[in-house]
Amino acid sequence: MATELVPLEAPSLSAINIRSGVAPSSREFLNAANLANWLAGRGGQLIPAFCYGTLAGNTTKTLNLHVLPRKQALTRAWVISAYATSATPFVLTVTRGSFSQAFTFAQTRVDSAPAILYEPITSPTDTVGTATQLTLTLASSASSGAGFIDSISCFEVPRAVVVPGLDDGTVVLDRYRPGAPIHQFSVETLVDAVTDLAAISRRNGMYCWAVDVADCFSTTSTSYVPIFDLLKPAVLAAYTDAANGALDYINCKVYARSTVLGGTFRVTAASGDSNTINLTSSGAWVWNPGTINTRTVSVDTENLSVSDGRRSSRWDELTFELKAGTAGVAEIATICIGRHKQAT
Amino acid sequence: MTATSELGRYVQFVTSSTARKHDEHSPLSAVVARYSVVNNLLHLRDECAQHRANWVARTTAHRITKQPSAADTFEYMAQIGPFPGTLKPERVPYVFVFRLGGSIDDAAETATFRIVLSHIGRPLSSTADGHLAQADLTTSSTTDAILTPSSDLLTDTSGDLALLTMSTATSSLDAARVDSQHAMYRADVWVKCTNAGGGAIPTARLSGWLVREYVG
Repeated sequence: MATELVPLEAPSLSAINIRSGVAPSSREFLNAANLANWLAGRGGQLIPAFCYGTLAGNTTKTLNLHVLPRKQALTRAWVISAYATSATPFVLTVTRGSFSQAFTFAQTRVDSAPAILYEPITSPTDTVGTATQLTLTLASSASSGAGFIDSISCFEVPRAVVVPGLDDGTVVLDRYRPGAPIHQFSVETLVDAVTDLAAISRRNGMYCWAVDVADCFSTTSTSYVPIFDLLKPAVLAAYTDAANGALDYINCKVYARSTVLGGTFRVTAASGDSNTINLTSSGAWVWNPGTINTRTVSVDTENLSVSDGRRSSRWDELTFELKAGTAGVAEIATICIGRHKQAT
Repeated sequence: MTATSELGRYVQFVTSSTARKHDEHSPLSAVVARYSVVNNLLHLRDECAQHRANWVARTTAHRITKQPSAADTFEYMAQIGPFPGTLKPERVPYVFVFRLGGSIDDAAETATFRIVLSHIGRPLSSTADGHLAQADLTTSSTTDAILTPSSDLLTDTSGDLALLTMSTATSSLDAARVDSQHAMYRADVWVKCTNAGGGAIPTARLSGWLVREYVG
């Protein structure tokens, strides 16, 4: 199967040379085709960097994570920045699926290099276009000192090549070689690519808070209580659709449990929208809502006419709250926010 | 207008089924080419910016704290990332928009947080030299809050890149294993505290961060 190379930087493209009554040059279409392939090949940030904090020696913690991959599954890169908080090195084994690797972190942040674990995709059906729940295990060895994990994050590795015909949104470049006549069919191919690319999630992971279930947030209150005491995370949605304008939805999913009916998670955006997730009452730790579903809430979209993209000069912040059912306990260990095309 | 597309938004347009009303030898429509293809691709490029880092401390116990060893001297406080950068055609990354939350444990003193953008793998010997971009934020409050910088943008115009190479296929569909490169950046937080009172040097507390790309 023929492949097309994907450049590292976004290809240049301009609309000003295409005017009614003037035949566009094939160069413009070649540039457009290159950009389509670049967009199809680039990866998204699945887990934005978040601070985990202290991990004692000889300790194992498991994080439950929900990721929203692009339509085509890509290799995931896990990045961990940490340092040893004592003279004893901090030896951390990171396990993701069948991949496991040990890293040793030095004492002091300046001397401690970040760890990167590449997790290859093993099957064409592996997470293609599907939101995925997975676990990341952090284990400090028996001889390890304590460490402080400044940040954990995950991104999809950009592709060096794409395969037109197999990958959505990709285009055979030879059709647009300089000097070649451009027919409606050639334009139609690009239109199809744009349609495919627009359907691929573009912002992926936007926020993630995850702890081991042993360190979860817990409440017995039957009124909503805030999960975060200090500040609220902010997100900004992509301006995906002309019909949406200033607001667009994001997806929310939580790893939680409730011992009785009535355990509920609520997310509220500063811009006004709110939604709730009723927790499964089995008492078991599960993803809520169920298997592939998420709950949506509308937030500010990026304002592309200002220097930093903020709409109305504000950060659209999210408030997370939890309440228990009567005489029950509600607990939560993960909150994941992203933007995905997948049905809600 | 910072958008690179003419309309600053995605345009819902005729689908390929509509386009197929013409056969492959029909003359093309410049309107379709300009708005449905080129401007939409440009908008998709604008909107592919990612949230690279996003964290707030859940409680006071979850903050990152730092008591500098000397007053009025920047010391390293936290590393955000590293993370990849999406590159513009000029081979510079999208602008990074940031916000930081923090406080200090002594209201009579001032903490200055400095966020710096740099390449992965570069030495961190100084808070002031060799960085791609930086910004300072100050607080004398003991209550955690989002701090206000003079500018919330970190812009790298150096044209210099630090590339990581991965030598395995990045997709199961790739016919061959080829090297994939990605440009990597890191954002670091340094802090200094005044000590006008002459007692113990106060402790600065970092309680949240956000770093997101923006087409700028």
